[in-house]
Parts: sequence; structure tokens; C-alpha cells
Amino acid sequence: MVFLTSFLARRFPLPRAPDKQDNFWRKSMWLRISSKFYGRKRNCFGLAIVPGWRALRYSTRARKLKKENMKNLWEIRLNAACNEHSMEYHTFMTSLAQADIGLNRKVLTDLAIYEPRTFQSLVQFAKQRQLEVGLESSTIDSPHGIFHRGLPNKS
Amino acid sequence: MPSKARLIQSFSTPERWDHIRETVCSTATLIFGWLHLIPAALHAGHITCQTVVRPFCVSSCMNKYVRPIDQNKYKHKDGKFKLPTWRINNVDPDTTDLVQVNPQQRTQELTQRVNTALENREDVGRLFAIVQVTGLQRKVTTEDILVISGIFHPNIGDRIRLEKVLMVGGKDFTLVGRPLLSRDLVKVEATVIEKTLSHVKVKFNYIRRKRYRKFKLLQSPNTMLVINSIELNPLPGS
Repeated sequence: MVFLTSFLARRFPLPRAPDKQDNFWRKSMWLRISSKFYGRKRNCFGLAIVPGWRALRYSTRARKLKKENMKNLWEIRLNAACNEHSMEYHTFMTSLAQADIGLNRKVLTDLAIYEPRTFQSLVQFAKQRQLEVGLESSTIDSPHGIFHRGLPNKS
Repeated sequence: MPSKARLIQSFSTPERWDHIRETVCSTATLIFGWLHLIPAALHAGHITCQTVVRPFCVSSCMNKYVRPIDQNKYKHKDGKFKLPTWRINNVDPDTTDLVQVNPQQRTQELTQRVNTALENREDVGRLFAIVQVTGLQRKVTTEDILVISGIFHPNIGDRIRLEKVLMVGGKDFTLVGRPLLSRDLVKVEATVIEKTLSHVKVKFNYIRRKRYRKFKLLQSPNTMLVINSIELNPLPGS
């Protein structure tokens, strides 16, 4: 903090007993947090401090909640992206995991948005995998345009 | 062909399930894909079990599948084990867009096409890669800047190679690693350009009427990386 005037000089901590110290700095900290609140919560310390605590508690929790929300968002987006190719989300993810493809939801969502052809080929891979593992396993061969390398053709 | 749901339903009695579980996986635990494996195995006449416990998972999204089935989780109130049915899909996926070709022949053709595209640099386009750094996967191209939060040991000016590459793609092709692409195939290089601290995060909690209050200010170290190059070598086995 830079002080251009000596106006706040009298607030500087002096060697005093702890109970005699100036409350100004503590109060100004909480008022700084509540500076954008509505009404008298903005300026009156007695009204500002409890909403200030609440805001900080929310921000602490939100850091964890954000991750969960983002995960839900990715799942929703992936579900929509899979349905576009007439595929189920869970089937798709399971097929990728079975085939040792370790892409996570975030990256798959990015692919679905920005690299649609790559995502489509992944979906086709999953479909093929479903067929190989599924009921018609004995009759199906590899699909067109999918790059198979060392994948067991028939399970 | 009976629908998938009906088939699974017919095999979903607890005795039948126990029998399958013992015969299919006597030693290993049945881990993932079991909804699809059971009818397939019975239909095909030979039972395969894809139940190798992987030594490591690249991504935490796979942890869900690398986990033995907990029977207690699926127990009813009367104590009987019941298969979960909420994921069974009555509609089979639309597979009309799949074209069936001989895989070995197709692999060779595709390899050759990718290699010829790599020789003519204009055909490849701007490559993108999916790399995993400090447990997070990111989609990068050249000249991108990554922010890595947390402890990261390389210093400013260090040129490092990002080893875990999960996917590389160009204009007309994409290579997917299972789970990683080999070091000989792809080379993603990056330079550390900045090491700073993140914004101030407040960790605050209290319990009212209990004299409990915690107030802490946190800052995590941030590292900026610039992706210098993504190089792709010709595929082997063409």
C-alpha cells in the first residue's frame, strides 16, 4: 500500500497493548470486501461484516462446486454430441475406456466442438467396438476410415 | 434378434449372474463393460473376459471403469443382489454409417495415406495434439500458451518435451493413442516462459455460536508454457 498523504499516519500500528490496537485496518479490510454490496451493507461495518463472511464462505465452496458443475456440463454436452451421431453417452465412454483410450470429458467436449470430424470418427470407433463386443460379433469387420492398429478384430 | 435389454433381462437373475461371474472371471474381477460382455459372450459361444487390471490410468475418467463391482451397492432392501438396469438402452446404436472392410488391408492403406500426406506438408494442415501435463489434459497447437497451476519444477527458459501425447490430428487424419502415442511418433516441445503466482484465493469458514473461524489467503504457483512445435514422424509399417 502506498500512502501519498500523512492522513492515515495516525492509524499505523504503534507499540501498544493488543486490546488497544486500532480497529481501523480490520474494519477497512471487511469494508473492502463489501464495497460492491447493495445498500447500507456497503458502508456500515456492523451490517457489512456478516454478508462479507457469507460471501467468502461461498467463494470458498464455489471453488469445489465449479469443478462439479463443469463436469456436469461436459457430460451434458457429450451426451448431446453423442446423440447427434445416434449414440449413447455411457456406451460411448465405456467403449473408449475398454479400448484404452484415456481422453477425459473435457477434452472430448473440446473435440466435439472444435474437431467434429475427429469426434465423429471416435463415435464410429465406439460403434464398431460395440458391434465387436456385442451380439453380431462374428460377422462384422472394421469400418471405413477408422485407423486400427493392433486392435483385436473379433473379441 | 431380441433386443439388448430383453437379453440382459433374461440373464439378470442373481443365480445366473453368479454362475456367469464364476465361470467368466474366476480369479479376476469383472471390471468394466459387463453389460455388453455377458450377452455377447453367451451368443458367440466363447467367453472372453476383458478384465485386466490396468497398472495405471492416464485419466481419472477411466477410474470409474477400473473398479470391481460392489455387490452391496446393488443390493435390494430384502438383501438380494440385483443388476442395475438404469443404463440399459432399448435402442441399439445406428450402425448404418459403418462400412465393413478388411481391417488389416484398411490399416495399411490408411498408414500409407497418412505418410504421403506427411511428405507434402501442405496436406497436413496445422497439427493439434492432446497432451497431459500435471494430470490435466489439454488440446494444444503450436504457439499456444498453457497455464500450469501448482508445483512445476522446470525453470524459465527451459525447453521441455511433453511426453504424454494422447492424440494428434491434422486436416484429414487423427491418430489416437491407446492410451499414449509412442515417443518415436510424436514430439511436442514447449518452453517455460514465466513463473508467477495466481490470484489470491480466500479460504474462509466459520461455524456460528461455536467460536470456530478460519481465514487464510492462498496463492498457487503458476507456470506458463509456450508450445514450440508439434512434430509428427511417418508411421511405421506402411
